[in-house]
Amino acid sequence: MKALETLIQYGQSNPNAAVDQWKAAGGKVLGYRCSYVPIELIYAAGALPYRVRGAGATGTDRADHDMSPVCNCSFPRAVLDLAHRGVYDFLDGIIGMNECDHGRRAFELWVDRLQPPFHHFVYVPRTRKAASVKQYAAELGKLKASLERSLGVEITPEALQQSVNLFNENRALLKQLQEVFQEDRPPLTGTQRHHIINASVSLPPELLNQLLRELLAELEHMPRPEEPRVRVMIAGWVGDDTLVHQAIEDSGGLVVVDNCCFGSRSFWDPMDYDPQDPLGSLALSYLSRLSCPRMFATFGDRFAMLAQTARDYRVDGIVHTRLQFCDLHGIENVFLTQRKQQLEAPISATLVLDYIGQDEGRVRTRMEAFIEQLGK
Amino acid sequence: MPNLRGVQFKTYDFSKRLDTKVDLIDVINNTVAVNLRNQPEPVRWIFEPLLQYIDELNYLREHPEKVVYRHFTFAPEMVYAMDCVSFVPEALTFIMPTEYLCALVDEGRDMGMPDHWCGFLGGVLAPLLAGRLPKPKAILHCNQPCDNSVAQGTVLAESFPGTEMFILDNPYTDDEEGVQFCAEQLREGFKYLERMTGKKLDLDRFRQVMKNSARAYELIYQINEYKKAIPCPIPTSVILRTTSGAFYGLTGTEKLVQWLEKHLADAKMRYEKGIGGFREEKLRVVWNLSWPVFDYAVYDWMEQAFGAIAVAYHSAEPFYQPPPDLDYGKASFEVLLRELALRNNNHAMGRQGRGHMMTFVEDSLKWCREFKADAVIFAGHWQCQANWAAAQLTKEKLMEELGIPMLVMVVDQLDPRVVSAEQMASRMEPFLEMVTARKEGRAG
Repeated sequence: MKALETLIQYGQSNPNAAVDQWKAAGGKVLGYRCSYVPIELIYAAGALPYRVRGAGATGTDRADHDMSPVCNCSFPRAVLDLAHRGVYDFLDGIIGMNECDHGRRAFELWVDRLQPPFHHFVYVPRTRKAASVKQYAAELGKLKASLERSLGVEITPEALQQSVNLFNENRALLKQLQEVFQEDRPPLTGTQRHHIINASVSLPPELLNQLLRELLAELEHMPRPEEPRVRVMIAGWVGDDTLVHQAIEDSGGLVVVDNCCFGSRSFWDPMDYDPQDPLGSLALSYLSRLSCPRMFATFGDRFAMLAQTARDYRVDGIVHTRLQFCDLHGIENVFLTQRKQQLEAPISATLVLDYIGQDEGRVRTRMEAFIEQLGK
Repeated sequence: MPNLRGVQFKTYDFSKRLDTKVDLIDVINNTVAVNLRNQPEPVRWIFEPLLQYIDELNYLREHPEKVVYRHFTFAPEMVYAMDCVSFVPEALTFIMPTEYLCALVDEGRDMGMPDHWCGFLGGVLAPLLAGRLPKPKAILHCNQPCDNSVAQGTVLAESFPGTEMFILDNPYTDDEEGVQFCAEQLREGFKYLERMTGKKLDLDRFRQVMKNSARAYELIYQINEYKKAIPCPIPTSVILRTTSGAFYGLTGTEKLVQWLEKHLADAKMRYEKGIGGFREEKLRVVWNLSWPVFDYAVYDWMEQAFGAIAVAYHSAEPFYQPPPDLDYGKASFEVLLRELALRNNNHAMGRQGRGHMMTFVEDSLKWCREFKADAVIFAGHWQCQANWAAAQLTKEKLMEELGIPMLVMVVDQLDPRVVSAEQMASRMEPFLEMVTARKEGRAG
C-alpha cells in the first residue's frame, strides 16, 4: 500500500492498526485531549501519546447524561461518549488540561465516571508572561514526575531531547506537505491532508516521519488535476471531522490551507529545547506558538497569520467555522467581521457546527453557496 | 392548588427596539437610581450599596484619570488600594433596566456575537466595541470563572487597542502553589497600576483597604450564621442582589462595612425576635449557580404558593472562610499580598468556575448541609458551561449524601426572553409539589 493510502487509513481509524501493534509489543498508550499537552514528555517516558478524538462517534447519549447538552459542546461530549462505550479502553491513561471549559469538565467526568488506570491534569496558563511560563514549567515538572512514577521510568534529558527532535521532524514534514498546496494544481485534496493530520496525532513519531517522507516522494510523481479549483482556507475549528472539507471540495473548491486546531496550529511552529532549561524552554515554546483563542488577547496574532497565509496560498475565499457553544472561537467572528476589509479574500459568515455532522445537508448547502459566490 | 394568582409578574414590551446609543449611566440615573431612592424608608437602606455604586459611576465620569476597568471576579481591593475607582462593565447589565439589557444583547448579536452568550456578558459587548463606555486608564482582567472571560479579554483588547491590559492567570488549584502563583502575579499587577496611573502604592492605604475587606468578610460571615436559623431571619431575595453586588463591587470600602453593620444588626434583631420573612417558612431552598434578578415576583410566588424560602445562593456569597486574624495596622506588603491572593482565589463564582468541578459540588453540599435545605434549584445560567457540566454530579451527590433533591432548569439571570419568570414558575411547580409532599410524609 502506498504511504498516502496508509496514512489516510490511519487517520480514519480510531484507534488504528499501528496502535494495535504498539500495544501488542507491550507498549503503553496515553490519551491526551489538546495540542497544548507536551507530547514530547509522554513519548520520552516510553508511552505513545494518542490524541483522543470523536471519530467513530454516532451520538452523544451516554455523555449527555453526565454533561448537559444545554450549553456544552458536542465534541467533548462525543469523545466522552466513546470513552463510555469502551472505544478508549485501549488507553493506559488519560491526560487532561484546561483547554476550554467543556474540555476540562469532560476530562474530569471521564476520570470520575470511568476511573482510568492513570490520569493527570496539566494546568496550562492562558498568558505568556514570565510568571505563567514559570508556572507552566512547574506543571510540566509535575507531569514528568507523574509519568515517571506511573510508568516506572526516568525521563532523561537525552530522551527528552530525542523526543523533541522526533516531533519537530513530524512538524517540519507536515509543513512540507502543507507547502505542496502552494502549487496551482496540487496533487492532494484538503480532505486527504486533513486525514493525514488526524493520523499524525495518533501514530508513533518514527512511523509518521517514515510515512511522511515516503508520501512526499510519492507526491512528486503523482498526476496533477487538469483544472485549478477555487482555493479555500478554513479558519476556526473543525476538529478531526472532514465534513466541511468534503462539502467544499464536492462543490468545486479545494481547501489549500487552514488555521485550525486539528490542522496548521499543531505543526506550524517547532518546539524549542534548551538543555540548560528543558522544561522551561518547552513551556515557553508551547505558550508562544501559533495560538488557539484559549490564549488571552491573541486574536491579532491569529489574524496576522490568517491574512499572510491567505496571501501566500492565493486563497479565493475563507470559511470561518466554530462549534456551537464555543465562546473562544465564537467571539472571533465579531472581529473578523470588523477587520474583513484588511483581508484580500472574502470571508464567509461563521459556519456554526455540531460535531458528528447531523446537519450535513445544511453544511453542504452553505458551502455550495459560498463557492458559487466566489464566482470562479 | 398553587398558581400564579395573587402575584404580579412584570410585563415587558419588546416590540419596539430601544435606542441603545445613549449614555447608559444616564439611563441608570434616570430609572434605577430614581426608583431606589424612592423606596420607602424602612427598606431604603437595603439598596445603599447599589446607590453607592451608581454614585461611583457618576464620579468616574468626572475623573477619567481614576477609571480602572476590573473583571467582576478580580478582587476590588487592589483598585481601592491605588485610590482609583473600579469600573466593571458587566455590572451595568446587572443594574440597567431589563428592556435596555435586551436591546444591547440584540445589538451585540447584530455585531456577530454568538447567540448563546448570556445577558450578563453579552449586554456590554456592543457599548464596549462602539466606544460608548468610559475610556480606561488601566484594565485588570482575569480568566475565571469561564471561557467567556477569556473572550471578553479579546473584546477589551480590541476595544482599547492603546491600553495595556493586566491579565491574571487564575490558578486551577486552591493549594499553596495556587496562592503563590496568584500573589506573584498580583505583585506585578500593582507595578502595572503604578505605571498606568503614575501613582505609587500607599502601603497604609492598602492596609486600611484590606482591613475594611476583612471586616466585611467577618460581618458577612456573622450575617450568614444568623441566616442558618429556622425561620431564616433574612430571606434571600431582594437583599441577596444587593449583598452579592456589594461584595463584587465594593469590598475594601468603609461604606460597605457600614452597610453590613446595619445588615447584621437587622439580622440579629430579627433572629432574637424569631422573625422570618413575610410568609411562613415551610421549605428552605438553596439556589445553585444562578438566581434570576429580572423579576423578583418569582420568589414571591414560591413563598406564597409553597412557603418556599430562598435561604442561600451558593455561587454569589463569598463567605467561604472566616477572615484571618491579622494586625492590619502593621502587616507587611508581602502579608497583604498573600491575603489578597487568598481572597481573590476564593472569590464567588470564580472559585467554583476556575478549578476542578468538585469545588462546585462540595460547595453545594456544604451550603445545603449548613442551611438545612429541603430542596435545591440549579438555575443554570445558560452560558455557565463549566458549571452546567457539574450539574448532574451535584444532583447525584446531594441525593446520595444529604437526601436533597435538585431541580435543573435553564435561565438567563437577566434576560427574560430566555426563560420568563412565569415559565420558571411552571417548571418549579411540580418540583416544589414533590418536595412538599416528601416533607409532609406523603411521598417517598
